[in-house]
Amino acid sequence: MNIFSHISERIVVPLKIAGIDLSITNEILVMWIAIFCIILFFYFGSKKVSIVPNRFQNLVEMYVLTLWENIEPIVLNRAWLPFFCGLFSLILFCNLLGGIPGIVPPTVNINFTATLAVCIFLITQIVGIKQNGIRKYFLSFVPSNVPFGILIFIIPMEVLSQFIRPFSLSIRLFANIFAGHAVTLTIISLIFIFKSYWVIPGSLIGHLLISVFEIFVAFIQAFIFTFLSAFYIGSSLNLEKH
Amino acid sequence: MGEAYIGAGIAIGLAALGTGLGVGILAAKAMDGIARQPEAQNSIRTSMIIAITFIEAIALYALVIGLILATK
Repeated sequence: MNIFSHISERIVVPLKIAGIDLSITNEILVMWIAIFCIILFFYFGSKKVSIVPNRFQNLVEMYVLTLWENIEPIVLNRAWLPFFCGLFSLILFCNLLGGIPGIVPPTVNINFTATLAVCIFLITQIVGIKQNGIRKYFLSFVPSNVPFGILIFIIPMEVLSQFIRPFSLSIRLFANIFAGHAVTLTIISLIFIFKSYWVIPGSLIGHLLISVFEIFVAFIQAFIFTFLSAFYIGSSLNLEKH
Repeated sequence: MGEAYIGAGIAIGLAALGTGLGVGILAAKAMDGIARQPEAQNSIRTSMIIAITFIEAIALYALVIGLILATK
């Protein structure tokens, strides 16, 4: 029995296409539920758009505008709003669904976060080359006004930092959500470690506090992921301004 | 096998030490800033929380390493 069985994936519908394992696991189902929730959230938020917004439209407007306020100075282009809003919503709703007992959020699986991070890496490179031209983009790795002796250390570091970004991006999100669930399990299992009924109130109060903290972490981590992706994409989009 | 557990313990312990120092210094400076300029409290708090998550992530890298060592 694995101690992480409560957050490990289980195959719901076995599926194999051309030798590739495409089984539908419980995490994928949760991801679909999250996407469905996002669609409902924005559909009902923008159903009856009026100048004087009702409560729900107000919430959606605040949600989008707060996100965009933080990202606009980096990206400088309104066309990126749907992408970053979608990224933020996907991570946020997945994280929040993990707060329901028995539901495994996709973000505790490193495959999910690594996929997002690799996509961000590819988008960063493609957009940078498309916007600035291949020569100008790769010349941006070479800082000006630096002596040659230091340059041979700086260029590999700059190139390496591009490849380290997806690792730190994916492990940060994965480890934060994973650690939250591991701490929840530890606090609940204190009851079974001490084998006493007297531990139950303390354990439950601790669980409540950790859960509240987890909701906070869900928002912060979704925002950090989006903010850092915006920073990476923005810095390769607008080479002169950074 | 026993060495792996010791390694995991040392990894998470050292990471907690560094993270504690980092968050402590950061919070002290932020409080300093708020005490000097109480009207900037909101923006200082926001940037402090963002910076704390970056520092926290380093401890969580050690947590992942510790888990890999301990559950091998």
